[in-house]
Amino acid sequence: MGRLMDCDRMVGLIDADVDGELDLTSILALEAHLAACPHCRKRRLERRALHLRLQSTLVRYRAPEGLRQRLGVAMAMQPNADTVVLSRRRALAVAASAVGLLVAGGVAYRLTRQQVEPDLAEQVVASHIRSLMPGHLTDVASGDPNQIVPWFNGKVSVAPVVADLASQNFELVGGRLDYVAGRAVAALVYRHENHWINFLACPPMPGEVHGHGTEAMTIKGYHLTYWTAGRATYWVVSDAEPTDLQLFTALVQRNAQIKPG
Amino acid sequence: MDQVQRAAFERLMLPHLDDAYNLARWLTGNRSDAEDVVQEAYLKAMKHFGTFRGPEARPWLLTIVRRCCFSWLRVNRPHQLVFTDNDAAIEMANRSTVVTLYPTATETPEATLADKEMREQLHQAVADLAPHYREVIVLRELQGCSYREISEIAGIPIGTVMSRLARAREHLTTAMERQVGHGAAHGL
Repeated sequence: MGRLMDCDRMVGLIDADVDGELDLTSILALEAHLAACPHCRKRRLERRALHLRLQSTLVRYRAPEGLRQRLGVAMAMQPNADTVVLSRRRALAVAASAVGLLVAGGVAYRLTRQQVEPDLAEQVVASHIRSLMPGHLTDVASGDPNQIVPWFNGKVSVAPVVADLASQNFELVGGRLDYVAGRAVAALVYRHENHWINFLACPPMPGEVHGHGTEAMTIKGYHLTYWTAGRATYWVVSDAEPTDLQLFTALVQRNAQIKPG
Repeated sequence: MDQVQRAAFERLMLPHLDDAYNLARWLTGNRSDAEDVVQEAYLKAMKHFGTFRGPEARPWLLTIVRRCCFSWLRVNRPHQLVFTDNDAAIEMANRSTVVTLYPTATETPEATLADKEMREQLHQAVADLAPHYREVIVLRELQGCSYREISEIAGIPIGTVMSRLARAREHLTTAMERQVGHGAAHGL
């Protein structure tokens, strides 16, 4: 009788022993019991074998790269308000039903951001692509803000804001005068690893209605973020990884004191 | 949440994305739902980051991931769940899945179980455990969590962690023995 009760008590100890969670007193008690109990000895052998087999057998899933990216974007777009999770399935469903509504109702949209921003975003991407053509990247090639900022004097209505992000591996390489939506805008160029990042400071466009916070989108494989601060709309565009772009955006906003809102 | 907070959140929590995903993948049983649950968990974690007091980010994050997984299970796999922490009830829920393990086992009596087959079956046996057993096995054997961490993540006393681990392993051993019984002697 006494031995049976002991065995029941030892079950937990055997597992804890296999898991390396046993203190010395319990180890000694367990060993004393095992010396006299073949049943429990066998049990420990089984548990050790199972433990080893589980560790060598079970798949330890790694987060897919797509999830990492989706998460980066979702977190960057997260306002302070309640969480909204857009699942792949739900996103498709919502998009499908929205299209259905539009088609069915023949709804006419007024000129709002839904129409303005895609155009603008297209132009920002065009500006980025143009800048990558030979000889178009910079008008003033310098990593020194004190040379770049004065160069824009009198050329643009919204002055560029320069952030020194060299320590974060975003190297300022120069500035460029560009033309977006019929206005002259200041573009700063940064290099991150093998990618160029264009950072544009645009005056407000007619009909443009902005929400608060930072928005993100992807056009033709180029990733963009944009936000409004003060009397300017800032655009970041690049073919760098979206997570790098998010990081750049966050750093610029913090460093140059141009947070959205 | 301002940029500094967000940067801190990302630095502390993103390194545990694989652990978060692995737990969710094992508990939901498929990739697509695991991704959704992990995303939901991270956004929740972000929202509640103010309540994080440290020092360890992993158990804090996994607690949230686990909660999101069980919410998902309640909606999508209610039959796997028992709405109580009563171990006897978990035992019942587990039995309903384990009994049906490999109903048609190997048809070739002379065949010895190839190692690959054995691995697949053990994997399946874990996947078929009741969620309350599955999570302690995954946390302990795959993610190397200590009893104390598991206790924090699953919100149960350490004694319960131990008894659930013991029962879960009992079930796995039984499942594999049953399998071996159908094949040839293959010590486990």
